[in-house]
Amino acid sequence: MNCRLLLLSGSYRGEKTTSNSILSHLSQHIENKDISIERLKISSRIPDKKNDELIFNHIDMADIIIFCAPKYNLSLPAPVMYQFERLYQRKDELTEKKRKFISIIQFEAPVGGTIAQKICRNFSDSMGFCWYGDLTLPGAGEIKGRPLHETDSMIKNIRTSLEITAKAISDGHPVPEKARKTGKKQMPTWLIILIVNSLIKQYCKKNNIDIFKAPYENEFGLWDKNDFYHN
Amino acid sequence: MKILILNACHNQNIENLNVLLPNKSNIIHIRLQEQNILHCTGCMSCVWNMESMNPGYCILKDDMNFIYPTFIHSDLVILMTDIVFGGFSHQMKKIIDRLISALFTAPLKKRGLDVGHIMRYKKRPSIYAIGFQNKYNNETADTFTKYIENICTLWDVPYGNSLIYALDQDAESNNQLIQNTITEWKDTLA
Repeated sequence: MNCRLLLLSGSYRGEKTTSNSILSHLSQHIENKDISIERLKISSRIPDKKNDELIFNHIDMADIIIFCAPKYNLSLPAPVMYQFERLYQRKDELTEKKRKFISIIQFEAPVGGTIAQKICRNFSDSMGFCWYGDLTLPGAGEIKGRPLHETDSMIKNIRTSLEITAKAISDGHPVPEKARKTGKKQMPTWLIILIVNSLIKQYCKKNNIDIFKAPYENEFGLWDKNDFYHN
Repeated sequence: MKILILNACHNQNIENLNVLLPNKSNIIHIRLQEQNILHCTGCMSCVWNMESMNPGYCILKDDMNFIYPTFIHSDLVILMTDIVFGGFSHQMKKIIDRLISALFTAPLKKRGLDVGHIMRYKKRPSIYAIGFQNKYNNETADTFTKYIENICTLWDVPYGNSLIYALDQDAESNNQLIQNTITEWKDTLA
């Protein structure tokens, strides 16, 4: 029986994004020929009825949905939340079928992602999908939209994690615990902070940039005006 | 006390909230549905994009231009949002995403369980989030509460808390909840 796999990218910045690189690497390692793979991405425009309809139709047809998005201020980006809201509004229109849902959250920081994953899980449950696991991939910022096979050893854990996941999906299994643990492995936080801060300091010194500029220090916005009231 | 209310709720009457707020407060109430706010493009030029670096400024020109300074110079910001899968609604999330330029600088710092950037302004408002649910849902309410806790840690605000306002509960108990909360604010922010 042919199984339809939908790769849904929650990054809306264009084609060369980290989410796209991750989904590409995953799809390249799915070896089961009975699985047909389709790809879509969240629109950068809100609202975009054409894109909404396209996503709804593809989700309706899908047997497995793999969603990958960046973490933004601990949660998912606003366009993703918009799309989740739209899909939930139409959930009763979906044809009856057991759809499996996997979420992948990627980000620059060496730790985090729990809240974003929880929101994905709540979305999956609310939609009546079958939760098939998640991957949290810290340090993915280093990918910078490149194909994963071109990235260096810092991304090795992410590559391995995705390959284990692809094998499990090919065999009809959910995301294995081993893939989850491998994906989370990172350099120590203190070392990342040290490297990043040194690079920023060097760059700013060289280019004479005041990184701590506070442009609104002496601007007061609406507090200067009279169109607010006193209680 | 300068109180900024950012309201992203649909069909919620918040007049009661204004009455309950501390006397002699200056209040600005912004309904986000009425504002022209674009969503963050993720260019990061406001924080760390080395090619187009413009620290503290967002390259997008819209109503956020007056929300940024208003936010920064508030003593308390009340975020009113429908709870969507345990997070903010997309209307509110647009603002939260865009606030990156007003909150963070490029260098990193360990903050709570996460890693955050060093804050751009010395003074930051206290945050109170009121999450609305049509029907009380324990899972999403719990996620929302933890989310606000983490946001407040990441933003390094002086005081932060949240409240779930479930519309299937009677109005009196919800108002009592808000009243208790405001008493707590008064004590904490005094």
